[in-house]
Amino acid sequence: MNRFNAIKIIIDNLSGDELLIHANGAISRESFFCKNRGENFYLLGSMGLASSVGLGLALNRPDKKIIILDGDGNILMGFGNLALIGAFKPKNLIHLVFDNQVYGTTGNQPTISQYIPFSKVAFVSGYKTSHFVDNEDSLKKIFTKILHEPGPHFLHIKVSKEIIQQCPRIPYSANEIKERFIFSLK
Amino acid sequence: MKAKDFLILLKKYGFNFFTGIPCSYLSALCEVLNKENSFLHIPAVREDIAVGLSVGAYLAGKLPVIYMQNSGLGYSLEAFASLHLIYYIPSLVLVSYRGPEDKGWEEHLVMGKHTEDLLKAFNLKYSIFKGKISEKQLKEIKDYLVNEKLPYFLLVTKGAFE
Repeated sequence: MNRFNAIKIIIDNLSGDELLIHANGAISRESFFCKNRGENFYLLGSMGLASSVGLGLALNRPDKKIIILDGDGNILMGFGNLALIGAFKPKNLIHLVFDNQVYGTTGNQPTISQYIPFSKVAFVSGYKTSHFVDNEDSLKKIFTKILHEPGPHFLHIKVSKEIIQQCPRIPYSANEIKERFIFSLK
Repeated sequence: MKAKDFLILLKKYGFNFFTGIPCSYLSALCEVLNKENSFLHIPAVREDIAVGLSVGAYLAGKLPVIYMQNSGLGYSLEAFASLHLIYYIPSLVLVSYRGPEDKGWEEHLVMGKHTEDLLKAFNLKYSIFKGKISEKQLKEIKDYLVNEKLPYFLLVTKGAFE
């Protein structure tokens, strides 16, 4: 499964007004290319912190569904945040990790993700459910199921490192990303 | 200043989300925070994670307070630089000022010596909190946060909270 297609499956199967927090780099750009939504927050930098921003949002807006789109390099950098999510258990949080086993935007240097069973780590950390998927049918089936059930949910999505769609950079400034996002919450 | 009175003042000025990592200088504050249930308090696992949590809280409409030791300021500067300072996120940041008055603690010497230099290098507005703050001063800080949408730092000295 390719990451662009995996992200497209997520975007195409949203119910409507879910709030998406994107890790920096290709994940932000590919999601933006699939659909330009005001409810999308893109981290331009701050590698490792997408899940922290998502947790802070989820705990303060229990009325909204929050989905974090994370990468393997990102989650390894902010590993302590898995424990924090597991401890506070926000029911409205879904944590997706697109694992291509490399730092893609810096030249495909390997991460250590091939040695780490992320979904087991998330489960013992206290997430309510945790799954691993490596094909499009399973991704769609599991995502559409957990989307409507109380979490926190963790979904480890194994993807290839191949780039099948060149996606432009986010055309907004950081402040514009924030203002659009806050406006969409009103 | 009694930590409880400080917290009452912060609440009065609209601060309603707290996260951070403890320091012995902040222990009286952490004690009242842990008993408080009129707002959300998330003890973080690292200082940069607290910075990330504060961004999520602000997006949700909260006015955040972050607390940490100055050792954690080192971990946090990149997070502030790539979040608060470019997305324009206001937060009050309480940083315990270890070093200058802790000559016996070698691990705090370097960061203690350069804490103010680091804040200045990043153009971060700050003042030193020795245990007294007037409503007028806090109102000025709140106005700065609301108008500039940037963080404001209070360097908390030894014994400032009781």
